[in-house]
Amino acid sequence: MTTATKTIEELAEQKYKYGFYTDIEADKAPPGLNEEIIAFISHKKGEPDWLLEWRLKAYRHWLTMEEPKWPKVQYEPVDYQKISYYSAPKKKGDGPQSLDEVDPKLLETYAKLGIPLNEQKILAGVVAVDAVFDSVSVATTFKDKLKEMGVIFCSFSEAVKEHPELVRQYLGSVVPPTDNYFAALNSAVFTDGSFVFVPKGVRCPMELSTYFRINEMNTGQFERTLIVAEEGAYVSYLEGCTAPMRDENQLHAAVVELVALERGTIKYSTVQNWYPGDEEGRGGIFNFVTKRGICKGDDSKISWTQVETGSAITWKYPSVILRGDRSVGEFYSVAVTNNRQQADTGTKMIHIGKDTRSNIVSKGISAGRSNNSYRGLVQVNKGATNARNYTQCDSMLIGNRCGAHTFPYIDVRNDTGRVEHEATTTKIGEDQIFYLQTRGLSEEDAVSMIVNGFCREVLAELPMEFAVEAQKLLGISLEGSVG
Amino acid sequence: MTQTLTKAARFADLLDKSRATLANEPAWLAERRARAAESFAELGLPTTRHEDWRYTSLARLEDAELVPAADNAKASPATLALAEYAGLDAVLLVFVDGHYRAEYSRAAALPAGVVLKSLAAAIRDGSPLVAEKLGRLTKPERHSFTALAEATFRDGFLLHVPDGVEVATPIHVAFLSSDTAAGVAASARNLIVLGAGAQATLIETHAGLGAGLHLKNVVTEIRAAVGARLDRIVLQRESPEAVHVSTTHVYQERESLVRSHTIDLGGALVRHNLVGDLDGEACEAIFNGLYVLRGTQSVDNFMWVEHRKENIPSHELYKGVLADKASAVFTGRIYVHPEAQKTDAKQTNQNLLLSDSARANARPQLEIYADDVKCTHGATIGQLDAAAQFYLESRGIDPRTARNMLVKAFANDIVERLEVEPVREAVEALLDQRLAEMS
Repeated sequence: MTTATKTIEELAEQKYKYGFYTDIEADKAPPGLNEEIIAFISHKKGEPDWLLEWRLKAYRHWLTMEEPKWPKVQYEPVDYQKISYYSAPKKKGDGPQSLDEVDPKLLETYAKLGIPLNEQKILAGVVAVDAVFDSVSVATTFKDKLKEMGVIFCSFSEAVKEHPELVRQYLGSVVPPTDNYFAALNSAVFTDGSFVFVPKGVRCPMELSTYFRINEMNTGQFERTLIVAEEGAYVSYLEGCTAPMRDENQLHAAVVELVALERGTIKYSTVQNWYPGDEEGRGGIFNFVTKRGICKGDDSKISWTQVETGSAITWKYPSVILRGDRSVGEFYSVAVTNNRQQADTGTKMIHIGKDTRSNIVSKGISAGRSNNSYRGLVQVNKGATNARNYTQCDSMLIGNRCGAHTFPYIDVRNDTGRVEHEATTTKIGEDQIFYLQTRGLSEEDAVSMIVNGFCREVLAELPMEFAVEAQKLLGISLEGSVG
Repeated sequence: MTQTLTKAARFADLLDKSRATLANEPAWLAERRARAAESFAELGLPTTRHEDWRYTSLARLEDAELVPAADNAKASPATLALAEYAGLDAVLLVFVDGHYRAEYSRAAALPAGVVLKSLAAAIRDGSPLVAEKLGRLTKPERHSFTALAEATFRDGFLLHVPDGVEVATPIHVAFLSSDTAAGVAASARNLIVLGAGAQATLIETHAGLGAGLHLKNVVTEIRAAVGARLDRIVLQRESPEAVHVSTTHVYQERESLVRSHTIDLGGALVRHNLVGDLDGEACEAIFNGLYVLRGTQSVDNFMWVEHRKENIPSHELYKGVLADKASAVFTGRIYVHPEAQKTDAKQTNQNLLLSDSARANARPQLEIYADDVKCTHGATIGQLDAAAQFYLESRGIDPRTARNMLVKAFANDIVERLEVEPVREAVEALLDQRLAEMS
C-alpha cells in the first residue's frame, strides 16, 4: 500500500513502529570513555596492535578537540562518560557460524523490522544483508554467492581479521581520524559496520544492504563502513536504521568511507529512520555522521541518495572528493522533519580533477515545530578545469511554526568552472490541493501526493524496494502535521 | 600570543589617540563611546575563524600602524574632481579623511525643514533628532567596526527629510581621502531619517587617489517612515591600497521603499555590511550591487535582510566581474520571521570570472519560519558564453571588443537601474576605463 492511498488520519495513528526493545542478554562495556575502554573494545574484537594504536591516536586527538557549535541545531550537551561504548548480544559459544545458530530472538527482531535475514524470504535473492545490532554485526547473508565473484561483503570486524591488508590500506584514507570531532570519536571507539570490496571489473550482482539497530539503553552506535570499488567495478549499497523509543537521547556517530578507483562506481543509499523522539522532543537519536567518498580514479562516480526521516537531530554531509578527471559526484536528499526534530544536512563537492561534474538535489520538508537546514559546499579548485556543478535546493513548509533554511557555500577558484545554485522555499500550494480535490481526491491524499511529487527526483534514485519504504516513511513522518 | 597582543595594542593605541571628544559632546555620547571602546578591545578585529569573515582576511590591517586623521588634510584638485559628476545638479557635502569641509562643499536650496549637515555640527547644536535616533539600529557590542566607528568618529552627515517633503534635488555626499591619507584611520557616522511620505535621492561617493594603506570605516543608519522613499547610489572608487569598510542599517516602516545600489571599482580590500530591517507591512527593499575588479582587489558583500511583517518584497541582485587575481565574497541571509507571511524575497549573486586566478565565494542563505512565502535565491559562478563570444567574433569584432561588449551587457543589469543619469553615465565611463585596464 502506498502512502497515496492512505489517509492522513490513518497515518496520524501510526506512531513510531520500530520503537520496541528486544530483551536479549547483552555483553556490554561499563559506561565511560578512556584508553582502557578502547583497549577493551579492541581486545574484544581481537584486533591487531596497529588498529589499537590507530584508535588510541584518534582518541588522544579527540581529547584536544571541541564539539562543533556551528550547525543550526540545539541540544543538551552529550556526556561522553555516560555512554557505553560497546554492547553485543551475548553469544552462545563462539558466535554464530551460520544463520541457524543466530539467537532466534534476534531473528525475530529483524523480522519485525522487515529485514528478511532468512535467505529464502529475500526478494528473489536480489539483496544481501549485513545486520548490525548495537555494536556488532549479527549476520551477513549471501556471503558465499558474492565470494564466487570476488566481492567481499562482511562485517567490519571480520574484515579486520580476514582482510587486514585491505582495511589497513583504506581505513581513514577518506575520513582521517582527525577529521572532525565525531569522526575522531568514532575512530577511537567504532565497534562494527560493514566492509565491501568489489574487485577490478566486477559488477556486484545484487544490492548490498546493512541494517543498523540500536537496542540497548545508554549505548551509542559507532559503526564504520568502508566500501572500495576497484577499477571498473560497480556496487550499489543500501543502509537502513531504527532504534527503540526511549526518553533519553542516544548517540549515533558513524563514519562511512567510499573509495572509487578508475571507472569505479559506488551508489550509496540511506533510509534513515532512527527514533525521532516524541512530540515534545523528548528522547530520540542524535545522528552525527561523517560520510565521505573519494573518486580517486579517472571516470569514477559516487552517488549518495538519502531519505532522512528519523533522528531527533541529524547532522551529516555526505561528500564527494572529485580527484579523478571526469569523475562524477551526485547527492540526492530528502529530509523530513516534524514535531521538534532538527536536521542540518547537505553535502560537499570538492572538485579537484579536470572535467569533473557534480549534481545536488536536496528537498527539505519541515512540519510541526521542526527546523530543517540545507548546508553545502561546492568548491572548485584551481586545477579543476571545466568543472560543472548544478545545485537545486527546495524547501517546503507545512505549518508556520517550523523553519526551513538554506546555507550553501560556493567557492570557485578556476575561471572555467560553472557553478549554479538555485533554491526555493514554498508552502504546499492551496491551489494544488484544491485542484486535486476537484478531481475527487481527499485533502489528505492530495497532500501526500504533492509531497511525494515534490520528492520524486530523489525517490527515483532509490532502488525499488527502498523507494516503496521511503514513500511510506514520508507519510509517517508527516503524521498529524496537516490540517 | 605576543603577536596578537602587539596587534591589539596597536589598535588600543589608535583608540586612545582617536578619543578626542567633539565640541559640546553630550554625556550620552561620551558614555556610549566608552562602552564601544571596551567592546572593541574585547572583540578585536575579526579573523577568518569568524564565520562572517571566513573568506576575507584583515591581516594587512592588523599589521598596519594607523593614526587618526587630521581635520585639515588638503584635498588636491584631482581628488576633488572625484566628487564631480558632469551634468549633476546636486547639493554637495564633502568630507576629507572623515572630516566635513565646508570650503569644498556646495550648498543648494532645499525644501523648508530639510536638514542636511555635518553630524558633528548637529551634535554641537544639540540636535534632539540625533540624540534620539543615533545608534538605535547599530550593534557596537557585536561588531568590531561599528564599535571602532562609535568610539572614534569625528563626523559624518545628518539628513532629515520631514513628513511629506519631497527633495527633488539629488543630495551628493563625497567621502574623499586626502593625498596624504597613508596610515590614517578615518571613521564616519551617518544618519538618514525620512519622515512619513518623505522622498529623497542620495548619492554617496567614496574616493581617493593617495598611495598607501589607509582605513575608511563608515557606519550609516537609514530610517524610512511610513510611505517614505529613498533612492541611494553608492559609488566606491577608493585608491588602490585603501581598506574600505561600510556598515549600513536600513529600518523600514509600512509601505516605504528603499532602493540602494552599490558600485565597487576601487580599494584593495572592501567590505560592505548591509542590514535590512523590514518592519512594516508592504514596505519594499531593493539592494543591488556591482563590482568590477582587477589586480588583487577584493570585495566582500555581507548582507542580512529580516522580514518582520506581512507582504514584503525584497530583492537583492549582486553581480561581479573578476579579472586577474581579484576575489569576491557574497554572503546574503534572508531571515523570514513567523509573522512575515506573503514574503516575496529574491536573492541572486552572479559572478563572471575572467581569469583562472580569480576567485569567487557565494553564500546565499535563507532562514525561513513562515510557511506562506515565496523565497528564492540563486548563485552562479561562470565565464563568458563562448558561443556569444564566437558569434561576435564571426561578425568581425575583435576578441577584446567582443569580450568587453559581453561584460558590459552583464554589468548593465545593475547599471541601467541607476536612476540618476549623470551618475549612470559616469559609471558607464568608469566601466569602459576599467575594461581597458583589464588584459
